[in-house]
Amino acid sequence: MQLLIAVMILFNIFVLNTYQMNPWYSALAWLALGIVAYFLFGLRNRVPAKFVDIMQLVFIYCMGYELITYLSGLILGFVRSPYSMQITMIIKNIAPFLVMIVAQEVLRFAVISRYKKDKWVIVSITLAIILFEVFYGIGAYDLSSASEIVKMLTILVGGTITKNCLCSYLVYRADYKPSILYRCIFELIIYVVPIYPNLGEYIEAMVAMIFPVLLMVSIIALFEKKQYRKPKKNLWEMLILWVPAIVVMLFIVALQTGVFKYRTMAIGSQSMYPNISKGDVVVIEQYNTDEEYRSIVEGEVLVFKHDGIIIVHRVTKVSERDGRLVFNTKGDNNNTADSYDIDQSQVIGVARFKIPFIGAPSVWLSETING
Amino acid sequence: MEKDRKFRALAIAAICVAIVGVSVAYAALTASLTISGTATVSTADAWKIQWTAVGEPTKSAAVSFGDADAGKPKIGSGNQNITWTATFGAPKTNLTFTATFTNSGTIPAKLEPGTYVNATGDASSNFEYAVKIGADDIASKSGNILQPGKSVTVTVTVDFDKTGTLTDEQLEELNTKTATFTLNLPWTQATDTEVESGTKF
Repeated sequence: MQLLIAVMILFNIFVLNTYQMNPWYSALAWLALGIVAYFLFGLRNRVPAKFVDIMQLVFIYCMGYELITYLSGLILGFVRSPYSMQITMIIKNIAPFLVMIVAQEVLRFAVISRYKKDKWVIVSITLAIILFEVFYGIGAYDLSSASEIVKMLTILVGGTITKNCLCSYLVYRADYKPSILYRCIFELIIYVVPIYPNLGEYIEAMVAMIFPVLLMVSIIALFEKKQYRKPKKNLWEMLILWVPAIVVMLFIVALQTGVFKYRTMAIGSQSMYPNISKGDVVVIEQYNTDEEYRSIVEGEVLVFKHDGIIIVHRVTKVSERDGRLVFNTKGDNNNTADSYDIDQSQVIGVARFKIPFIGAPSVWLSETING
Repeated sequence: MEKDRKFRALAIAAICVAIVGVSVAYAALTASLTISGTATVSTADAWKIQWTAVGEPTKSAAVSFGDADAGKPKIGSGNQNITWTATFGAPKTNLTFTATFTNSGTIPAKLEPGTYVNATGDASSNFEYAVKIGADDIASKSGNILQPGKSVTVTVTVDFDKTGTLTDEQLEELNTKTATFTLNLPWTQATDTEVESGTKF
């Protein structure tokens, strides 16, 4: 067992430099490891308790998630898949990753079912696969920028850790089939659909980290379910406790991502002090139409893009040029007005009200990372 | 437990019906769905087309990139586009720079047709753009294949009022001749047939 773990760690070092190599190299290496594990440990043929229930839960969660995100595309918009949709190309794209997924899960199952009582073995095999996936995927990120590092840590590292914890738990409770089903639905769907919803990095990171945890909690609950309950009482408790919490969380996510009419933004300077201070969060009403731009008057706090950065300053003059609106602005705490004109196309919206102080951690983190 | 299983089985059936229905609806509605460009796939896979270098721009004396050249051409987030903001102080002025894109993944990519340069801001309608590979306009390279590991350098030129057709009055009304530009090349996976028979960059 220790030898196998050592081989896997050495394999990860090999993987570090293989991002640009043909994925079949990694797939075949995993296939070899899977075959070795099969001959070393065998596959314990048994029908695990609640196998059908686990498979049902995995399918419902995964397909339900895909359905909800595709419907959310009607609001968030879609992006086109870069992959060819010809059948032969779909098979060619999927094949190495399918081999990798099956080999990894068979290896995981062979080891975990053999050493079920040794928790450290379960942790080691999970860690080894996490390390492989992180090293393999790290090449997709340009780590010279802080935002890419954060994206890598949340989507890749965070998502990989929670996914592999879930897969190890699925293998521990059932066998390799539920984890293969889960991974196939989540990891291979990008190769078979022509469009997918433009979730944005924030939502993608949240989903990557949280979704496996939710599914794991449901499966744990499956094994701890009491036979007799008083459903009415529990239903009310659930409604009172959980529904408001979920609604609040969804509301915060929606505000952050700017999906709806309003969005939030933390203020990073004192240019609008004392009306808006550094660390405050402003709630912005987003404007997109000509009618909305024309409703902007002097004295309103305008949120706009200039030279690639977002600025929140007060409108001092509204004029029109060639049928387009032009705004002049000034920070309340600045001695002089801004030296540039703002075209209506640069306008994001108008700040409607502020929430004091709650943006301070985000501002501090941004200043620490970006210097 | 049997009751729970039956409930879950019904839920699975309902989800499958919903997925089929949504797929049919999306296929029928594709023309009217908001599809904003090609995805930048950040998972551990083999697709990675990106801008890798931007050259120092040359420009007419009356062209400015703002304070401390903040608007100079630079590679955008995710290395998927190049953006720059410039102010053109007089007609018949221009700026030029080179940029390099690379297929850093393992999948051959095909250049799709499209509008490669977009501009926003005051005076954006008075600009002309040229994106060339050598002496050829990049639009003529649509359908060409970029193999893994290969790079191509383009030359981008932006002209303001190239032929000097704007009158003095019109120029005066354009108080600031500033625009923010974005250069974005749309790519999709090249099939094996296209790789075999297509023209390579």
